[in-house]
Amino acid sequence: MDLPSNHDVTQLLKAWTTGDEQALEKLTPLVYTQLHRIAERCMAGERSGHTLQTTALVNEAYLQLVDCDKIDWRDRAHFFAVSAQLMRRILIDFARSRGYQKRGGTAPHLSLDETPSVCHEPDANLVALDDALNTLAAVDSRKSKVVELRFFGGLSIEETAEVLRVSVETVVRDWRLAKVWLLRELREAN
Amino acid sequence: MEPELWSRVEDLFHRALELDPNSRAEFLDDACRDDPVLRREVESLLALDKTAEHFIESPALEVMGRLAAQQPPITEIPEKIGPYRIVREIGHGGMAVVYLAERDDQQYRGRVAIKMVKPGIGSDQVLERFRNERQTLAALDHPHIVKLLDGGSTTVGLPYLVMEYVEGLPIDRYCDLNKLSIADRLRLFRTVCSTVQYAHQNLVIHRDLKPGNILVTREGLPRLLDFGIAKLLNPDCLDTPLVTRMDWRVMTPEYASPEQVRGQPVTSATDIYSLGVLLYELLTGQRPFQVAGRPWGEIERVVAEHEPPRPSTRVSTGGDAKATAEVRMTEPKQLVSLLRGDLDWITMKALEKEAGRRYATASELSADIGRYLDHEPVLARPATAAYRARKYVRRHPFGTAVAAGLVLLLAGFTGVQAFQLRRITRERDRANRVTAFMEGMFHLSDPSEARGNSITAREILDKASKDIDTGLAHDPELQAEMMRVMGLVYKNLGLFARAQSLFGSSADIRRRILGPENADTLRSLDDLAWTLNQEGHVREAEKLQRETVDTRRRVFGVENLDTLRSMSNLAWSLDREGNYAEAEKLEREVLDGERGIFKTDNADTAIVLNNLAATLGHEGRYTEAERLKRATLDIRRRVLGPEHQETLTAMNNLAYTLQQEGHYGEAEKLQRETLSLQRRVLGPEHPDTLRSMNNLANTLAAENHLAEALELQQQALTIKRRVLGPEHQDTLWAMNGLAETLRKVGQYPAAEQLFRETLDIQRRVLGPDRPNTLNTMGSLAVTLNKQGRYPTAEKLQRETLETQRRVLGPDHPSTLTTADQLVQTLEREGRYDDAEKLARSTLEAQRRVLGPEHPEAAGTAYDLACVLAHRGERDEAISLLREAIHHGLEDTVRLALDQDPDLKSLRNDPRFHALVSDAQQRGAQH
Repeated sequence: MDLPSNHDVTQLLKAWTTGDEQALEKLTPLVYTQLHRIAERCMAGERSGHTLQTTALVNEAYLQLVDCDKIDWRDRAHFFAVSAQLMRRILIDFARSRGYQKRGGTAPHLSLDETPSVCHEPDANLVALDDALNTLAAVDSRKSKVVELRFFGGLSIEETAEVLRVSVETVVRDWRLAKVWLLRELREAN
Repeated sequence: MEPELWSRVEDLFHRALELDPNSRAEFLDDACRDDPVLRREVESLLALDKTAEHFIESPALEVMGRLAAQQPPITEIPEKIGPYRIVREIGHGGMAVVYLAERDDQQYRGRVAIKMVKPGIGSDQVLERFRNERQTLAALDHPHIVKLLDGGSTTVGLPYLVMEYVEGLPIDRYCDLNKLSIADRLRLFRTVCSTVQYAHQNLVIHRDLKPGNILVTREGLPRLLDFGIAKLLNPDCLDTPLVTRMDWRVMTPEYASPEQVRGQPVTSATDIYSLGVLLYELLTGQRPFQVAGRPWGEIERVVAEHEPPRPSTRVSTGGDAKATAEVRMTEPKQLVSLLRGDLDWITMKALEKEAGRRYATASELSADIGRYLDHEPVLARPATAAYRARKYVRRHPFGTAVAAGLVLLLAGFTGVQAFQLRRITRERDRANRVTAFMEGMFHLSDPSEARGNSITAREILDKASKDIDTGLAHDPELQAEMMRVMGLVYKNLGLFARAQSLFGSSADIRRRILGPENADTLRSLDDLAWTLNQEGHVREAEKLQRETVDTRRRVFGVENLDTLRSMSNLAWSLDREGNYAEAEKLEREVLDGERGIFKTDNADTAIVLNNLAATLGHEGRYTEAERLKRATLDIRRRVLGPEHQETLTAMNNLAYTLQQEGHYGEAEKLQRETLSLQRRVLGPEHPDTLRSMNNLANTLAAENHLAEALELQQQALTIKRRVLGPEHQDTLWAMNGLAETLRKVGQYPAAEQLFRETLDIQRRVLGPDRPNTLNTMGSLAVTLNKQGRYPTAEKLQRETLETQRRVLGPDHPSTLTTADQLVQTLEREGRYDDAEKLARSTLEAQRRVLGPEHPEAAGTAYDLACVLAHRGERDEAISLLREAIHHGLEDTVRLALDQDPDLKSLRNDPRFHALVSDAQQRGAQH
């Protein structure tokens, strides 16, 4: 697929913001392609000498997709929301395709942090986390969204607050509880 | 879950978090009185709050990216690797996997740890790293570093290392589990420091020091492991491109130094930083920065720019204060006050962002902790008068409180900070220039430019020190500083000639651009004079030192540490020249001055004490010398630690005096201990180590263990000629020692030859009337005597004696020794009158100066007895012999008493027979 023009994405974002759900349908594949490209590049190991910063990458995608002059912060927030959702899908697909299965597979469990001294949950893995996040959504969808934006979208607390249009304090509280809840869920699942 | 229940869970969870952990249970008791489900729910979440701190804090894409880069391998555990049977996997890192294994055959029983490159990771870089690790470990032999036992490649070509299997706990857990107090933690930490110091002295940087790499065994001994990313300061490693982010991934962000996250060159200062993090953690239970799991960019920023909270602040604000205090056997409030002040300062100094502001070495860090433990002023602390006063009060708690209060009021406002702000911009440019120069320095080690891969770190330094003349010519101030720094490196390596030329250039540049009275110029001149002295250019050194001392006195006054140090160096030169009286006077002046400044004995005053003791020893005042040397040793053990280079020097020096006092057994024991420590800590070719070899050999020779003495002396001389050069005073001294032993074993021509060689060099380099030159003359004369060349011997002895009387004084032990040797020659020549007269006056002086129990006095008593026996004066002869036998007469002479032809006239005297059997029984007791 060719890169979509700035104009298309900008228009679609604006339409979605004003309540046009169909615009999201059209927007998604455009953003997905771009993010997929980024994610693939990250995982192919072509990044020696670069630090990985999800936000920076998403920003890069954003700049490539969107006409900055014609869009305000609310559209930008929506873009991040979509990106996080898509990034989640992309990464989970990656994980599955590489054999990182939820449980019992031959592949080793992924630790969510490679540093043994600070990784307290070596048994957690990405696919299991995705499942747990779905369960959390049923209990408290905003908290699930916070995790999606923070963990998959790479957004900061402030950016997350901006996207969800809640206070920073709320995001801080949600994030803290959601992490604990997910961790408990993952432990029980194992 | 019911939405209603969930919202109560949420509410209680957050409210409980706001409370002190200890009062949460009570709070929940109250809030969930009749709802156990709610309570369990909230409690199970609260319990994980700390654990979840870093959970999913790194965005998923980064985690995936890192994992993808690691290419998770197929981890099937092999049954065997080489001759080792695998028991189980005990760990794995990014590139390697570690197994517990046992050896199948009979050769080696016991468990080992095998570290093997993961299959599929065989990139050149990884293999290179692995190879380095093997070299690194092989280069290190230290009781606290895990030993490399073996290594090889599997059938499919995966390299592996076989190491000691260490059972132990990570140091942080060990401390907590055993509830070690802060003081005990510090003591354990100091051992880690001395181990790191050993590695640094072997040019090995660990680069990933963290609790997981420091295990403490059941016996409480720390063992350092995983030199996995240790980098030898060796071009083999340096010319692999420094892709710093690569390094990054294999190391632990929370222990990484600012230069590591910035991707700048890593030096031993990096390990000092990591030691700082470790210290912080042992003290507070938390790390300075909680960065793990955060995005790289953020880690980089936090580590490079943020100031961590001081340890005392950290324990009072973060974490579970009560639990933290409890495993340190104290109360939260006490813990805070324990950490506040010195320990804050020490930790923060180790954690300085700028490598140059940290402790220069691990032993300096350790020494400062030692000072803290001894309630002495720590170096990390800006030395304000108020602070020193506080320390003084701690050590002298009575009666000083009022005075201290006054001093506190006068506490200095140094104004240093404003000055530093102005310097920062300039310093940054400087830092860049230094970095560029250092990079150039390492580029030179391109193997194509040199020979193969066999370049050493020394060669890099050698080349760089040549290039420095042109390398930084556009910034002469910096150039001069770099020259001085390189000079210091050479000085520490004991390569004084190279140090001297660098110090000289540095001083020239500074004199030109900063003027002759500038503090930096004077510092370079001090260094230059010091090396001149070391190189044996004593008079040149003295001249320079007198000038420097005069300038300093004029510009900075006498109550100034630098002035005092210059004076101390001058005194040392004077001592070396045999000008003991002036040296002693100056040393006492310096000691008073330093004690006035420090109010207590520390590493600085220990240097002065040491030098004063040496001078007293040279003056023949052994008892006073011994007392001061013991005091020096005590201070150094306390302040610098038991394995510090200077502590070892103090041990060596004390042993030397003990030997001079004739306490051979005690001297030998101490010398053996010193030598083995020096070999381990400083290396087998360090000048200090070599000096100790000679000292031990001299004691052994005095005890008549000649074969071992000879072997040691030959070894030491060979190394000294190579390392220090043929004219170095230590080399000359080794030549003398060896020649003495050769003479003792009867190899007179060889001994004579070696004495003459030494004498030639000494006359040329030191001058004809220097104490060491005169000693050699005396020794040569004895050798001539042994060969029956009495007139030549007598002539030389009279010349020596006359000069010694003039230079050293008539009662100096060396003068008296020469006199006794002349007695022997006169006796051989049959000139009994002259011999008796000289022997009596010499014996009288020796009894007075050295004490009647000194072996030298015993020797003279024996010689006098021989003269008297020739003259038939049996009564006095026998009484003198008895005195000699009881007071440490040399074994060889004592055991052969009945065969000495000089005592022939006594052989039919029953008292003589009693003496002989007494003498031989003493021999049997040995």
